[in-house]
Parts: sequence; structure tokens; C-alpha cells
Amino acid sequence: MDEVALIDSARRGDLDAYNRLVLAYQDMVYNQAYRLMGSLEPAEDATQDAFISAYRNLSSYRGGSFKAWLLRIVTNACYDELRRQKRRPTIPLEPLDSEDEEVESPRWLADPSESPEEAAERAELNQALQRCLGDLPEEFRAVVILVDVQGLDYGEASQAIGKPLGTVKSRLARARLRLRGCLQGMWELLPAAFRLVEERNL
Amino acid sequence: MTTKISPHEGELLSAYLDGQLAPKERARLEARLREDAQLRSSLVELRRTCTILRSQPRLRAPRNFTLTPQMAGKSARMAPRAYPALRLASVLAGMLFVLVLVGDLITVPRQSALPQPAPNQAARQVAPKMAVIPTATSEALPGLAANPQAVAPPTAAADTLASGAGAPTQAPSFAQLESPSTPTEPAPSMAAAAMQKLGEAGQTETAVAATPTTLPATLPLEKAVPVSPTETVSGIEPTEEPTLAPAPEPTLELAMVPTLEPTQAPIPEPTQEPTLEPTQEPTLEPTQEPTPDPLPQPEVSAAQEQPNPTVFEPAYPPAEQLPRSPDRTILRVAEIFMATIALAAGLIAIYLRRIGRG
Repeated sequence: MDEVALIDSARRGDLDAYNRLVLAYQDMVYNQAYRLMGSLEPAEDATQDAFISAYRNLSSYRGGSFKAWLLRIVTNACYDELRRQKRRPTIPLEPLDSEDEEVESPRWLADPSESPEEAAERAELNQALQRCLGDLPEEFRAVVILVDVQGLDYGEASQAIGKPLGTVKSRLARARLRLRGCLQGMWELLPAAFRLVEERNL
Repeated sequence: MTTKISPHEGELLSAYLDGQLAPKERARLEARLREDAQLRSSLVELRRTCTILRSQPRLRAPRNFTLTPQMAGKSARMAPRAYPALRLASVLAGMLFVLVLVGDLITVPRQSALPQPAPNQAARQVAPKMAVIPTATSEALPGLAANPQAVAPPTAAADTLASGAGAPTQAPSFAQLESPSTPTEPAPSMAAAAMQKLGEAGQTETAVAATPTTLPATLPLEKAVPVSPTETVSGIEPTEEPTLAPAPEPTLELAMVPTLEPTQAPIPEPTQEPTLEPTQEPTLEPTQEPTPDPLPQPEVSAAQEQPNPTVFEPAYPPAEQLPRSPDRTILRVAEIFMATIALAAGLIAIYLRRIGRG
């Protein structure tokens, strides 16, 4: 069954059809929420909220990219949650080392399949990227995540943020320029093989 | 070290990276890139930024975010619609159950307090058992004075025995009906009923009623055989005898006491009132505990020596069979029905609520 048929079934109240769509898109929606929120548990909540909200508002989907439509819902859910967090600021619990200093790259975020060094570097890069993304204004952050992390094209990104293409272009450019400054020095943390491929493309 | 570029240049470079520039714009930018080293390095930095962003591993969803029907708000809407009705049904059925149960509990002592059934049973038990007891005593103690007395005035002796032994036997029978206050209640009511029936029932009936009791007394040699004819003659249904089977045991014990005592002192027997009361009291107190019970009953027996059998005999079948068994069975069935409905409705309501909560 293709996506359009599943969406039609889900619109008629077929929850199983909708759940098949959920399974197809849950990784994407969860990643969007994680990159926007910067932490795992709020991302989980936002993802679930987004899928519930999407099911209840299926009638508002008017064709086009279903992926972009879903991403718009989760992005808005994250905005709501971030605004709630701003009203009630909380101090995140970071792990402490032996000298009571906060450990910036907690080990449990590491992928166990990697070597410890790679895992540490990746975790460090991930932390740095997440910090830089968090420094961006929300609307810039959303666009750069949609395009550079999720791999959407401008048209889909435009649909996902509900803004014209020109807005996507300018926001994306400004977000990248800001990130460029923030991520200065992080290039060396990328795996060597990846760097080689990138250098060759220059 | 980041190179400084204008926002417009940044937008061009960003779009160029994504291949979003028109061919004309793209050619112009590529020409500028070849000349401008600063712009070129900016492009490299921007590309690295994009590479870092894209190098980030995609996280797997920590769990499935599929929706349950409750999350979708389907049966969450269904449950509240059915829930209040079921809750109401459960409450109503529960209240009706309590009502029926209370009604049942109220009617049980009332029926036992009715003048006819309870004394009738007691008297009915007494009548045949009394017939047994004299024979047993006469066999055990052959030199009894009761036997010749019973033979000489057959009806009178039978009446005295029936009333005399009936008084103590009524006590355990009441106790078995589980109404401790009833012995005082039926006594006057029974007396009143006896007084009313006294005018209606002639002494011919007393003779008829007395004759079965006299049969075993006059034929003491037949041991237990006379019991069955007395039962059949008095019109007792065989089904009621086994139900009242526990009653005869105490009646036999209690009946033994008064019958034994007259044999020791045969003279006071004709005068029943004074003799029976004192003899029963001292004998029952050491032997058996239920002394308060036999106390009121000698009065009853004294008040209605003759009418007792006359009243009871015609009153048995209508008094017992009609009002008791059908009403109670209906009540029991209603109780079970209400309890089942209450339980079922309550369980369904709980189940629906749990589903609604998810």
C-alpha cells in the first residue's frame, strides 16, 4: 500500500493505516524533535504529541509532501515545548567527574559499536553541534535542521515551516554562517575518511 | 578563522552549495570564486559546516510512537458515553439488591413470628414424638404410672402428655428457628389464636386429634411401629419430617425429663400447671442450659391444653406452604439477579474506565 492510500485510509479512521505511517516516519520526526530540543526525553514527548496531533488533524493535510507536513507539526510542537521551558527554566542534570566538574560529553551518549576514541570524538562533536544549534534563533534552527540534517529540499522545507522559498533560503544561509563560526575547530573531529571525501569534492 | 562575507554573499554561497542557483547566477558566482580567495575559503567553511551537520548520525526512535485507540481519541469518546449509564445501572442494581436483601431479612423473622407456622411445627413434632416417648419410657421403665393413666382416660392422658411434653419441645424448636425473641411473642399470639379457634373447633376435633396420640400410649408393646401410623393419621407430610430432623433430638431429651419425673411422682400429674412448672425448672437447669425458653411455654400449654391439637391440625397446610416457600424463593432469585447485575455492571464500568484511561 502506498503512502497516499495509507493517508486516505487513516483519514477515514483506519488507525492501523496511520500507525504504518507512524512507523515509517517516527525516526525522522524524533530526530527533528531531538535536534530542535537538544535533549532526548523532551524529544520523545514532542514526537508522541506530534503524532497524536497529526492524527487528529489529518483533515488539514491538503496533499503535498506528507513528510514536510509531519515535520511542520513536530516543529511546532517543539516550539510550544521550548516556550514552556522558557517560562519554567530547569537546570539540566549533567554528570559530574571526580572533581565535581560537569562532564560535557557523557559516555552514555556514545555508540558502543565505535571505538572509545571515535565515540568520544563523535560525542564531543555531537555536543558541540547541539550547543551551536541551541544558540541559533528557533526559526533559523528549524530550517537548518530540516535541510542539512533531515535532507529536505527547499520546497519541502518551505512547506514544513510554512514560509516562502525566499525565506527558507535567507534563513538557511544565515543559520549556516552562524554555525560556521560556532563550529570552528570542529572539522578535525570528523572522521578522516569523511574529511577526505569532502576535500576531494572541493 | 572565519572570513567575513555579506549576508547576500552568504545566501548565494549557501544556495550554490545546494545547487539552488539559477544557471546564470551560478556562472557569475563561479567566476567570482575563481578570483576571490576569501569568498572561496568562505565556501569551504560553509561546506564543512554542512558536512558536520550531515555527518551526525540519525538517531533511532527509542520506541514506537504508534497510537493506541485511546490516544487517537476513539474509545476515549466511547467510554464516557457508556460509562455513566453502566455506573448508574450498577448503583441501581446494588441498591435494589440491598432493598431485596433487607426485605428478605425482615420477612424471615415475621414469618417465624407468625402464630401458625412456628408453633405448629413444634406441636407437630411434639405430637408424634410424644407418642414415641411414652413407649420408650414405658419400655425402659416398666413400672410406670403413666401407662395406666393413659389407658384409663385416653384423651386426657394424651392431651396432658402432648401439652406437657409439647411445652419443653417448643423451646428447642424456637431456638432452631434462630429467633431468640420469638418465644415470648408466639406465646400470647398462639394463645390468642387458640382462644379464637376454641369457639370454632369443637371437642370432637380434640378427640380426633387426641386419638392418634393415644394410640401409641394404649399400645405400648409396639415399639417404634406406632410412630408411623400416628404420623400418617395426623396428616404430616413426609417431606417436612426430614427437614425438621434436627429438632427431634432435643425434643427427645427434653421430653424425657418431664415424663420421667411424673413417674417418680405420679400424683401431681393430673394437676398440670403447678407440677410441670416446678419440675421442669429444676430438672432443666442442671441438665440443659435453655432454661429461659421453657419458662414461657408452660403458660402457653396451660392456657391451651385442649385446643392446641385442635388448632394446629387444620392450620398446618395453608399456613406453611402458601406464604412461605414461594415468597422466599422469589426473593432469593431476585437477590441473586440483582447481585449479578450489580456485579456485572460494575465490572464492565471498571473495564471501560481502564480502557478509557489507556
